[in-house]
Amino acid sequence: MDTVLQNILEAKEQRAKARQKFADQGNASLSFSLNIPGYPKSNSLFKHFFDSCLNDLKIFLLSYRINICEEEEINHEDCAGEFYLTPVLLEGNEATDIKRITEIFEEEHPLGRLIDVDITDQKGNPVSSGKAKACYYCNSHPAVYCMRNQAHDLNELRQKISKDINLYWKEKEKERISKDIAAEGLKALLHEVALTPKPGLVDRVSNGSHTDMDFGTFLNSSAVLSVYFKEIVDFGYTFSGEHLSDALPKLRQVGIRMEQDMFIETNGVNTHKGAIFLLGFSLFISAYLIAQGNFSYQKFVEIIKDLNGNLVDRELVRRMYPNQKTHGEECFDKFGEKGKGIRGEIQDGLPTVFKYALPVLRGSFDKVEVLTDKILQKGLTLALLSIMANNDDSNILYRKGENILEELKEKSHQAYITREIRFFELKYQELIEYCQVNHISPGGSADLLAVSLFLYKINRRYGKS
Amino acid sequence: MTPKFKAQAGTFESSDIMILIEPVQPDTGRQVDISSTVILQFEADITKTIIQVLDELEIKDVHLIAKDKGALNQTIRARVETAIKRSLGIQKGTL
Repeated sequence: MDTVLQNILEAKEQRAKARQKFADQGNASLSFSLNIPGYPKSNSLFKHFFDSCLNDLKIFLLSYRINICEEEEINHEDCAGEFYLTPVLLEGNEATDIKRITEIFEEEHPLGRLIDVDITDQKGNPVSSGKAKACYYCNSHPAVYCMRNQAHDLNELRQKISKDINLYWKEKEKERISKDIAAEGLKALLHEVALTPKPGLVDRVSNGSHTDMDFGTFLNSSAVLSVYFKEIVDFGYTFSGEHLSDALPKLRQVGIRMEQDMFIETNGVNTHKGAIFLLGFSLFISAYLIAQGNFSYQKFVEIIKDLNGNLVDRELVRRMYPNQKTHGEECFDKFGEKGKGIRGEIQDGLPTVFKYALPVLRGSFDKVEVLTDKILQKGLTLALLSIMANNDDSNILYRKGENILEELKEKSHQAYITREIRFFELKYQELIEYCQVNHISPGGSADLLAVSLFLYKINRRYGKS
Repeated sequence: MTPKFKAQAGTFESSDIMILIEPVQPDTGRQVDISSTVILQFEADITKTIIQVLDELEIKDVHLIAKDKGALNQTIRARVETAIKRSLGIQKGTL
């Protein structure tokens, strides 16, 4: 006789014995296995899938308050494939009730036809639902008939199963990574505002140069924006258009909705307009690159430049409105190159982020495994200084003029270069006071800092650079 | 050969079959009782497979009960063979 078949049949008898053992102890039992035609009954793909489904099943059982005895569970691979068995406590239920509930699990699972949750009652009898499941492959005949007739080619069947599991897996992976990227977006905003003390900016203890917003305003605004992060990330992760620029209209729509929600939440105060713009692009591009397993700083820069093209020419040289100028336009008219603002920064591929902030963050964090608040505060302070020392923030230029901007940059530079010596605290405090006296708020630099932290964290986990 | 012991082979899982063997008095012949989830389409097939194994093992007097859940012929063959061998005392196993 065929020894492979013999081994499978033997394994199935052993499983029945194990079920009987639980029945002899007066317990009903629940088993979980995969429906894999042909052999081998298990391989690394199937095992991975089995483990993941088992985890889902346990969560599901817990949610329906079905108690299993995990101390007595059996979880192993035998010749018939992966197998899980556990006593299940009826606690007033009938075994048929449990069966009905586990059927919901099979029905709701995207690959439910591949999984078998079987219930055996306290007497050792299988509890049948009496329902005939449709064939996994053709979906038109009862599964049991197709199986009995060997209606479908075994290789094709197994290929379809592997393909479906891989797709399922990809989808799960996408969910996991998307959530992670979206969470990093929110973390970046929160850590930026929580950085204390900061020159002229809202932080944990001071409102900086602002009278219309405080720490709470930023937390609220961050919360409202973060709701959209997953949407942007999903869009980037699955984007398959020929040209990335085809994504712009949708990105702008989400961005405008974020702005509207922000203004509602803050009663009309601009907390995060710049951050929406920068972080929106960064979330999208990061997700797009990670989906291709191709995230690096270099790729990111290429894409952000490519995506936006000649922003300065498009949006500053040519006017948005015929009879009025935006602040950005006015600044550009008055200061030329220096007044390109955030559009110039984007068009040039975020040089302030990549040339100044990221090397500082890498130097501060690369060798650190757990980024505690203290370590973050130190690294972020230095990164903020390196940004402020180099950023031609058009907001400051517009409101305060060129001299103040240059003075601010110089003071930031002076503080930055004393970072290793004891004068640092003094220099940093001087800068904070300078901003306070002159009512300067380097909000553009704060936005760049948040994006820098975001990109650093993304690269740390997914990067090739 | 004549079964001497009660014996069984198989399980109640889908795609499997449970075979129960009961010894009978000599010269009472074969009694084969089959229940199956696919009885309408496969009764003849299942019966034929079981009889074939009984013929090969030269079992003339036996009461065989089969509870089938869509097992393939090769599985049916294997389960009947094991159940008979157990009932003859030449293969160890359940019961």
